Amino acid sequence: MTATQSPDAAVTLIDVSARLGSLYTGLAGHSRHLLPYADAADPKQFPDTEDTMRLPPVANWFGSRSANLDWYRAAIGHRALHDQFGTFEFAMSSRPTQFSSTLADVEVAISTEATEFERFFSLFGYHVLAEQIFSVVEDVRVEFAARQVFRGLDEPIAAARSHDLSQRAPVRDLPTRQAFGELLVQLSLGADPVTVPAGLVAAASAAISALALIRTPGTTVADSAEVALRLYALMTGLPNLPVEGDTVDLPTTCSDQALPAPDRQRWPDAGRVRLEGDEVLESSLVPVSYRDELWPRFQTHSPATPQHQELIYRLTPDIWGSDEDSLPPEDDHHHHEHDHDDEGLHPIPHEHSEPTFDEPARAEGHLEVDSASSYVYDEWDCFREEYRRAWCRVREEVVPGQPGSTYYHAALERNRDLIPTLRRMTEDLRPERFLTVGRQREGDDIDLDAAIEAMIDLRAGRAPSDGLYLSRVAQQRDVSVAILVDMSSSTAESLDSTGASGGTTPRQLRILDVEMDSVALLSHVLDALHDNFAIYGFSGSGRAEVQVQVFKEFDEQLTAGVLSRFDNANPISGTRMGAAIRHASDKLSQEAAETRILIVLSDGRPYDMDYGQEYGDGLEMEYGARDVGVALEESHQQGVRTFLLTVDRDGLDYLRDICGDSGYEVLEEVALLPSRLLALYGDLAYN
Amino acid sequence: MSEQLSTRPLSDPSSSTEPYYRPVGDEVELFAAAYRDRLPVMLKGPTGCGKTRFLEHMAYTLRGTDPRTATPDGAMPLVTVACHEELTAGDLVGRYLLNAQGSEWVDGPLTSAVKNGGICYLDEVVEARKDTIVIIHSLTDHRRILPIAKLGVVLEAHPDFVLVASYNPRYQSAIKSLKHSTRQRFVAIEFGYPQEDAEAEIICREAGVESELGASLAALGAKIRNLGTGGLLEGPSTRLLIYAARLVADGVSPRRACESALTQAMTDDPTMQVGVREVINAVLPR
Repeated sequence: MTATQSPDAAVTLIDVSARLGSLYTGLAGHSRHLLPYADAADPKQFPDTEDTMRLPPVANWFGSRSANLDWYRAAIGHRALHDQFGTFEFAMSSRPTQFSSTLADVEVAISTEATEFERFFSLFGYHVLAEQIFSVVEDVRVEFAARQVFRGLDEPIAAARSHDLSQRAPVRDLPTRQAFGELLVQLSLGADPVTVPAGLVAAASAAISALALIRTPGTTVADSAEVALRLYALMTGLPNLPVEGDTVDLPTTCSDQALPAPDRQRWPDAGRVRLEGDEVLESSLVPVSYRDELWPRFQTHSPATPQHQELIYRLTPDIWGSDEDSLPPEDDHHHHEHDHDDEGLHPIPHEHSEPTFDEPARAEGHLEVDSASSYVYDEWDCFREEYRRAWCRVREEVVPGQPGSTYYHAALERNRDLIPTLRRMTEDLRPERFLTVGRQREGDDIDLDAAIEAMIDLRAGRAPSDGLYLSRVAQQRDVSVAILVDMSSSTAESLDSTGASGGTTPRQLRILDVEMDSVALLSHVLDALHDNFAIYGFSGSGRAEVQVQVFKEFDEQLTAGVLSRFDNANPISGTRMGAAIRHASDKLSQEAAETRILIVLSDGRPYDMDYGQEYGDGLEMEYGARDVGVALEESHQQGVRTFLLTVDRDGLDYLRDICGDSGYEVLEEVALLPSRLLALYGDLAYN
Repeated sequence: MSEQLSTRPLSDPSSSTEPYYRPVGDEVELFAAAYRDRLPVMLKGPTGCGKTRFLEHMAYTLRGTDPRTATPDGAMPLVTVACHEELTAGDLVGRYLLNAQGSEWVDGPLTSAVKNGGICYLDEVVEARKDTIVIIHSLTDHRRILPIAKLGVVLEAHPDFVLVASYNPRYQSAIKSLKHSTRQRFVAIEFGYPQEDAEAEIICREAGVESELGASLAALGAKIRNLGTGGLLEGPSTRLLIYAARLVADGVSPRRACESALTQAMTDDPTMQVGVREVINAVLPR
């Protein structure tokens, strides 16, 4: 877009994203992330998706801030209209209100797994063009419908239309087919009259009729599909050659040109053979700046899951710093070394280079502490049904902070929608234990001592105290909580995987970010409540290198220095969960609190490079899960309540086994983590 | 200077005319059936959705078995107790008070209703302490008795006595929830905000405004409630929408009325206020 105005009038997206986000959520009924174009020169590079909306980082084409803000409102409002008026509820079988249906009668030869949109657009030879035409028609429909319901959007949308219209190329200068497409767009923007070549008058009149029809109250997306189908037939029937001759100013208000029905002989045209050189005939519609591109939402995408990431991780051993040579040969001799009698499952001994201890211990694979901040823990081997003693070495490291840290406050800002929840929690998390206190002004029972003194005072002519009752007052809580955050490599996966393949954006949230956001929010509450808490991150690079990163210890205050550690949360490698749980529980059990709670946030199965793999492919999952189950049981025996919250959608498969009937939850959406963690804490600490 | 105060007994309904209530489902029939069987009833629903009005309406229309129970208007007495975290068992049952002669027992509202019959309504029951609420247990099962340890008596509930409680499930914090031993003593009737057309009708009826304004405000209410998932505790209640309509009917511009009755009433958070304002400005014309 052009016509940049004074910098004083400019509105930046980041400054108004909160209010625009609310506007969208209110009108559409659900929220979407609002992001600036990664490349303002190429908005198509990262089009809108189901979860994201992208807009220019700055609006500065009007002479005032309010007008530029209105442009954003028009853009957001327009996007919400598609949700409000059912654009994405399209179904081929839906009956239109203005047509005796043709679409519902069409049989589509396409996979039954295809979406309704995919089935519809498969009918068209030039499906991109069809999508564009459909989008324009649908834009017209929803903006017309909005005038009945969202009257406050009238002015912003009218101004945005007018601005866009002023930037469009004249129809008369374009080849016929391109001119027709441009005409459609300009009609959708309210152009009146339209100046068209004389040779295009008939087609233009039909288009005017079509768009007038779609502006009938009560039309649905099925009507838009029918209109799009006819306009497509009309447009592709035009030669894509320059038109010579005079131009005509065609009013858009009074056309009774009948819209031609699609040619049933040619329709559907999915089977049409695309001739060589056909592409020169292709036309496309130039988009409107404030409207969203709908086409990405006509297609289905399957974003990579954390498990995909984990799988990649497993299949790329180089990342682990090991290679095939480090693995022992799988000979029968080793398989029979251990006295084990079930199903032929026997561990293949490791040869780690790290241990430097005495030979007997080394032979057993035992590890030892090798620094003041290292700890050694057993690990449960479910196949041998015994502990592997001193099998894991946890290295504890305080995460370095940095001046000018921003993460913690950015996390609160990013989750500002939850701030009211935070406040309510801090207000509501009141102690539930009570002490009986005498000499109160109100209470359930008379305080006899106070009453007797009052009677004495009365008889002695003194003013008695009015504190005559026994009352029950609240007692302080006694809770310590440790939060253990999975920092495995799979937490590096971006949540915005549908935004753009391979692209980068200014701020793509990773799973780890959402975990840390959740922890930041909970920290906010815990700090306000003066509850005792610690925050640890964990990962694993083999049994000798289980990392536990300290973001906050129990005895630390939530100072700026501690908060600055949040900025340095980064994914590491595997998910050695059992050892991390044992370490955190040990630390918790040293806290003199009546209630001790361990909350584990995870994004996937327990998995590390030597976490049961020796039993064979696939069995390492069971090994890791069983070890975690035993570690949790050990925690319970230490008086620690545990809860495992995972965003791994397959979590039910193994958590049910390792956690029993309670103490875990599988979240369908990563985005739910912050709110669920907050609610969970209330449940754990106070029930 | 002596001041003449207008007073009425706690058990009198607020109106001598039938309170307006527009049913949105089968709640009227359900409550009537529960009352016939003297089953305790739990009204669940968000703030301002009409729970209390519904109960006033039912108290006005229901009739007990004992004619002496009824108020002069023929309605069932309705005793409302607004529960809060400082509410004690003594506040419900009664307590000894000191006076110059010694001490005197004074019945609490629950005891009064148990003795005399009528509806005892524990509003926002979840706000009360759990140790307070357990005293209703023996009243809410087949026993229908109220033991008063301080008096050494066990009161049998009047045949026309029924206990009704309400709470707002959305408002509950993570730690505030009813014990199962309490909640499973009630028949529950769930309330929500009415559908847009019904809410528009209620707004028009209660505020005396034209249907177009009622429809706009009902649509606006639904849109602002969408923000609830984003952090607002609760969207505007029907009651607030009625207030907004009344302001408009009294000459205040629609946007200003909504600013006062909705935005400012719902939240003090500046960020949320801006968000609510955006929705209002999208729905209502300039």
